[in-house]
Amino acid sequence: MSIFLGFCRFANRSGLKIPHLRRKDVCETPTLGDFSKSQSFFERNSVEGTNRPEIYEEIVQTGDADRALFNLINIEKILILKIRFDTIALQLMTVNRDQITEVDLLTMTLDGEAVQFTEGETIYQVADRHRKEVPTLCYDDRLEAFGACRLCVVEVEGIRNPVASCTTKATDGMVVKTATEAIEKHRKTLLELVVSENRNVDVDELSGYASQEMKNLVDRYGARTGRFQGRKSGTSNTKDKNPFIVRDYENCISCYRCVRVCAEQEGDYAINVMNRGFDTQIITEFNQDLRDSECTFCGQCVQTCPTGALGDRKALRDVETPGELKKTRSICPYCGVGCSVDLLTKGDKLVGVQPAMDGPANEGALCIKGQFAFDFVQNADRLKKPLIRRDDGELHECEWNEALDAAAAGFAKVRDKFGRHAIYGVASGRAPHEAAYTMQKFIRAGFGTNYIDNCSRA
Amino acid sequence: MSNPLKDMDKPDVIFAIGTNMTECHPVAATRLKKALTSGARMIVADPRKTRLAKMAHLHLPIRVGSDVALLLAMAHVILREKLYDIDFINERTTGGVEFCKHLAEFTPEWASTICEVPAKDIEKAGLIYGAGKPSAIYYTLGITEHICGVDNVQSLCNLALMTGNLGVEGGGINPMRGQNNIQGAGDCGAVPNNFPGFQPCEDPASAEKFTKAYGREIDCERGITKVTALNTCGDGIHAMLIDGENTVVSDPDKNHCEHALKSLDHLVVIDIFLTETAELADVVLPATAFGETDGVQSNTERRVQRLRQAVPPVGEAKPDWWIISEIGKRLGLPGFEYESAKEVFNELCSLSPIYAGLDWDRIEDGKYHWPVPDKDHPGTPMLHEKEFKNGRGIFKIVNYRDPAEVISEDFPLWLTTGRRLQAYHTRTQTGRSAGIEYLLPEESLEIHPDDAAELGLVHGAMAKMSSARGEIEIPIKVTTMSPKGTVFTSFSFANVPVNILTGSGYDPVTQTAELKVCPVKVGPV
Repeated sequence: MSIFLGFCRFANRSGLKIPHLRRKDVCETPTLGDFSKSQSFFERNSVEGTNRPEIYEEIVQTGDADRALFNLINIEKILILKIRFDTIALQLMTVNRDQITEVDLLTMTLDGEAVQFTEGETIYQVADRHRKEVPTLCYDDRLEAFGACRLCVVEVEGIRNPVASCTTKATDGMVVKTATEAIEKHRKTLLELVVSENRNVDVDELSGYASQEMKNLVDRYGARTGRFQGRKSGTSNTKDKNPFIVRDYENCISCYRCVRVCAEQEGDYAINVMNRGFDTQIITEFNQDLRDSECTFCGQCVQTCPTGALGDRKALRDVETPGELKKTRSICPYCGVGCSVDLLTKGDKLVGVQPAMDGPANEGALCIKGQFAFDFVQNADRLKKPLIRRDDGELHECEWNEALDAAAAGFAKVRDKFGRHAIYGVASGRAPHEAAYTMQKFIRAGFGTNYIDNCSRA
Repeated sequence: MSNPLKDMDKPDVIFAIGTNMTECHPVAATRLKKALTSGARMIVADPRKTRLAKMAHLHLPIRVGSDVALLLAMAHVILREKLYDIDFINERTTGGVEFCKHLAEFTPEWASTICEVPAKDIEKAGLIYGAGKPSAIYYTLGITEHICGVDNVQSLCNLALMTGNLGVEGGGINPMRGQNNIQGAGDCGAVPNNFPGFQPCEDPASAEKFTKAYGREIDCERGITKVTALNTCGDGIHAMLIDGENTVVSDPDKNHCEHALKSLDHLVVIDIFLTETAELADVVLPATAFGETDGVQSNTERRVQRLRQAVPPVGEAKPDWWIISEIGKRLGLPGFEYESAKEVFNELCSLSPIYAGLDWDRIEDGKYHWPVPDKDHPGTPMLHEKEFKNGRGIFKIVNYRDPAEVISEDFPLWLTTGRRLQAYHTRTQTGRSAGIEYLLPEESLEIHPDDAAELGLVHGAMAKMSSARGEIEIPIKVTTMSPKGTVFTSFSFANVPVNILTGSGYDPVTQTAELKVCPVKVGPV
């Protein structure tokens, strides 16, 4: 395990607030050589107790990041955390004493191993931290645990029936087994039952971010046995003709993730649950179309759906498009929040967008524009060639060389005739830094003026 | 923003003024909703009953352009009730005594006559904001797009300074930037008063630095703003290079704007579509779009993030930096031999103190908020934590002024403009994305039922709306979202060119147009 992840978990568990910490900041096991490179950093920051190489040596040598860091905090009451970095090496940062909250660490036995946790953590959180791969369907770590799917059940010593690990708090001295034969059999049966109620298990991955969760579990547990036959649940809503969200409830498993993400994450409360059992339906107020409800079409319900019952209708247009689905991380082109997105492409075609769950600004959230308004990019109206105004007064397509020559010649002519203060540059608030930077450089280096602005005044 | 986005679920009190956040910054708004769920209180000052206003514990439907009066009166209440943070004022600010003296006459009763909301609500707003620990301010163009935009911002600063709400987690003054990289355009020096990294043009040392870097002497005085440039087209300004802005639709006073661009000798436009502005150009150069280019963007919390190319450019479209560099090279300019976006960005970092600790590789994960003064610096998610950039926070004496134009017999209604959730700016992008028209097929004028009845206007019917500058036709939407006496529409639809009407005045300091206030007359067609 990387030292950083270990630290993350430790910090997480102890309720510590660590500034500038990102889960992505993972690095390989550092060496003492790395440490020496960061000496200057400490010296400059001269924080008490941080200039003791033996502490770092301990972290590096024990290899058990959790324990090493635990010892460390006991020794020094100071946390030293490492953030990765770049090409040079390791940096070490300190966290002030007053930022540290000390908490009691409790111990439980997880699959025979003693592990530490803090009060308030669920069994699932502890198990997940220790990479136990406890299966879930109704779980989304951004939402309150719900305990509906029962797949995360585990055995707890002293309790006769298996307990749902997502809703059960870990307690000191608890002995937990996450994958006994009985538990695994139970999970398989549950999945067989779930499969029996749905129209199909295999949905295209264009459906949504989490759309393969159920399929993957069914395959992992070999649950396509057809052992149970009978009534199907859910009725697909085909009357809602909205262009963004497929509402194929025949594949709904009543995990309520859509309802919960809409309420807890978005605060929109656009959808809810009607009836129970086989008759369960996810509906809007008065069962009207999403357009007429509080729905803002942010697409979060689509992205959290584990079965593809809710699907990204725009992305699904390209199910038949040949090519492997590829994801490229970028930033949404609309407002200033700067949400991280994964662009979905097949070959040269942009087919959709999914939110980046680890996006630093949005943490998995998007709005209708970022989620669905992407296809302007390959719209037929895009300018494909330069245009130049000819003697007939009209714009005509031309080659780059001619257009650039004409553009430059026009500026040279105006400069020569009216002087360098006759030329003005307007940079875009939409284009990247490199556009704005070269634009201001063009004006400043080209004409020696500061006749440059951007579109922020209107 | 003085504070990071992740702080938005932490305030005790939220004061949102001039921001329609659930529509314009929906993802940021989800964080405010979480703060509300965990017990935060929210004051919303907005003439319209927006979704955010409906969630508020206190909604102040103030008359458009009356913000300064409201904020002075809130400060008055905070002073009177001793809700200020005396230690913060003593240790970190200057001008507090004068400011407090200045506040004496600005009672809630006085403000009530200007803001057209009850004095007791203004009183309540002062009490709630003043008592919050911490209180956070969020605002957008509803604050800045006024002739008194600077006064509005300074009034907000005064509130935060007197209550010590700067440099604290969950507090701060947080303007939400409206465009994906409008922050970045400023960071990169695409402004008439600053070189990259906000180094002032009028500072001889900065001018010398860039003179040296760029190999030619640069004026040691600020340039003119775009507004002034447009005013002097054909008479001073004779050529323009416009990148990715649909100036004639987004800017105020459309006719003036169009006339200005037409009177240029030479107009070159770089864009991804043939916009209304590009149609006026002598040369139009096709740029790469989102998803087609590598690059860098700064978000509203000063986070510097990477854009990545996922698909090849359509047709022969080229990155903006390449296009501009090619024009530069053809003018014989040195320093434009870039091979990649990375090279351009790294040059920016080498010249900008706030980016000095960054380079292309370091921003891979988007974890840095500028300023990042050196390679060992972790970035600055929160500004003003220990000290202000210029030492002490300065209280500014601000007075209320009427908008450039006020309602009259000829133009008896206030028009204010804004944005819609489903449309973005002039719809060059959202208008070309499938499905959006299902939700927002056309623009309409939101008008209070009483006003509609009085003017004989019917829901769904067309109306004529005119200002001192022009007239447009627009369908009517009768709704109580608009308060009586104020109408609202967005500027997004080209067939409802509302910016024919706007453009009554500009802030004297920033030259930001007063797009939020325009007296109009509305009647049946």
